Amino acid sequence: MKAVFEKPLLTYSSVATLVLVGLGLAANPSERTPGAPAQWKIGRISSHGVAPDLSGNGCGAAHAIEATLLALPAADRTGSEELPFTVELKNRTERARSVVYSLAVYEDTGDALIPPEPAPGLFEIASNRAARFEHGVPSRLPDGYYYSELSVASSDKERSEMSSTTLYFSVKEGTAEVMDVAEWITESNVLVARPLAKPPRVVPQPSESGDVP
Amino acid sequence: MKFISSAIGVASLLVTSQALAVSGWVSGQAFFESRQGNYCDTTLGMDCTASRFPVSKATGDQPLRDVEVVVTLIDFPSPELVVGVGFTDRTGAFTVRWEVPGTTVPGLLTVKTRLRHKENRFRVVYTGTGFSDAVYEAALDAFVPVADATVAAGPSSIPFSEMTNIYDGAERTWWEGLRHSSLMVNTFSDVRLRYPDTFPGAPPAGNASADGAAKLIRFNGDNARAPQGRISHEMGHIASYLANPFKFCGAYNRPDECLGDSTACTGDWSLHGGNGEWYCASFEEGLATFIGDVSYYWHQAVRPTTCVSIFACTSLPYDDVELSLGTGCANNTKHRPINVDRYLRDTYDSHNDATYVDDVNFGLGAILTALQGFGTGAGNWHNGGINEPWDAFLSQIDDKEGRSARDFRKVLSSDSATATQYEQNCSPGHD
Repeated sequence: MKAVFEKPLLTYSSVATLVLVGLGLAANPSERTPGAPAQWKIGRISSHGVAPDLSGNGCGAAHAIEATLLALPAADRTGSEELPFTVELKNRTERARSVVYSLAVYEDTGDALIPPEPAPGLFEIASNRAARFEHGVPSRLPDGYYYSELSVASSDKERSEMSSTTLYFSVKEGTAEVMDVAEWITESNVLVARPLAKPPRVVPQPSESGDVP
Repeated sequence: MKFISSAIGVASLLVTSQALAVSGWVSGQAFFESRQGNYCDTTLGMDCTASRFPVSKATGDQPLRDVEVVVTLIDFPSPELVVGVGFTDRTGAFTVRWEVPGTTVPGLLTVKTRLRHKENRFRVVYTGTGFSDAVYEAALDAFVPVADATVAAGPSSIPFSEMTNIYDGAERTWWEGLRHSSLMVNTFSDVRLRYPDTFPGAPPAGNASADGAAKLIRFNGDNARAPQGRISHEMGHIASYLANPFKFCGAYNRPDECLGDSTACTGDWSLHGGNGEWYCASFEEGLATFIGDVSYYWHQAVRPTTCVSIFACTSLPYDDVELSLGTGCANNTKHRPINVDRYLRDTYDSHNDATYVDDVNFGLGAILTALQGFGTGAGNWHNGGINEPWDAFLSQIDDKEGRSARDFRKVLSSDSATATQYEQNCSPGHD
């Protein structure tokens, strides 16, 4: 299966709505948004499993869909400009789940180069199976630090959830390369604030003090 | 006369030893780009009564509250010299005094935040060198100082990052919830929230874990955007531990043996699903979830929700904490932690249930203090003890149903005080 999205379809917040629309439960309609064209290539589906680990004094509850972003190192790629990476979505539950996901690319300043959009639309992952999709970051990105964010919404018609995972990378002299998150944080500008022309209005809670929970 | 000359000598010493310094002030306002989930949004049909996290606070530039602010002088005399320390207020605003040795006004000062709470309740750290944890810093501005004058910096906003999101989630958990417990005021401090955690034993990608004894919460992968089910829940574990330290059983994946520290353990737990968890794990997870939930919905809430979500929770009954399943639950259902969460919510809230008369209203402080009712002395592994699941040597689990919601019911005021709330939520425990 191959497909190319020529234009953005839905806004980020609409990803969650889309699943609920599929169930007839959404309270607000999805909306369209302008933006730069994205070129997500949709690839094959295969099984993949990762055994979770448990440690420490109490773990967080697991997501029903385990989302993973993987990428090939530059040395293993034929072309250096594009950064092919793989989306893996594993259904860890005993029920089939309807799934939609979106991908976005951001600069380290927080500006979206490619706004999130659902791709490839609503599909189903059977119980304890995984779906895999191959993508490519658009070529000719200027040198800098970027991250790609995968957001996943899913439902088994009883339980809905939304989660996200992130892939960090840099472009240096035209070559895209995945980075370790700690290294990316250190080298990028993510911890450098941008000046605001005007501070946003801060709305205090009704009872910042006084009332107690 | 001898006395007078000695006094003059002391005065001279004081004068000559007086340090010379140039000082001034810098003021500004710190924001960060928030991308939090778990907000409440009335436009989605949610009832946001007593919500402490409306959608307006979840996205966009939000104040970085009660965080440390430092002013530094670059390249003097070491690579970086801190010349002033202060904190932001509830609006992100700060005014920090700086002071530089000598008589010369320095050329350039920088101002930045350190993601540490002003009372050091918690801090967001990364794995530094030598297996130490270093606090994240974010540069806000640089300014040309003026002696004896206030220089305005910013306002400025830090781009989205997991670290600032984690700080914000932790700050909310403290401010809206934990600080209202005197027990937590006295015990909850110096908690590290480590991101990303690459040490052995780190939780799987997209997950988090808490170690009460180490006062350490570990994040791995992107999970900072679902604060209720991750940041606040894990802080709930820390609060539970600090209220009355215990050894967690980790008995997940009922009916399989899955004791957390086993490498053969391939399961994980769910708030709602499957066969549930053994009661010792079900209670602790439900308790941690409840403690975290308080930061999102106070006791007056009509329809509080809980979930792990980068958006709002859904309108499905699944996420409804005020829902009570009644008294006729199947055994698997009784073992699901959501029922513990709902039981504790009913003991806490001041909103009557739709299906039964729920007329108790314990404060968060009372509930946390009640944990101290679990026995901690010799024989604390016996019924009603803090380590009931364990044998006398704390080496083997011999009662996976111990330290359950049923035991908690006994230590919260009296056994009968919340019996109805307990029974109307599936009786999610065991003696």
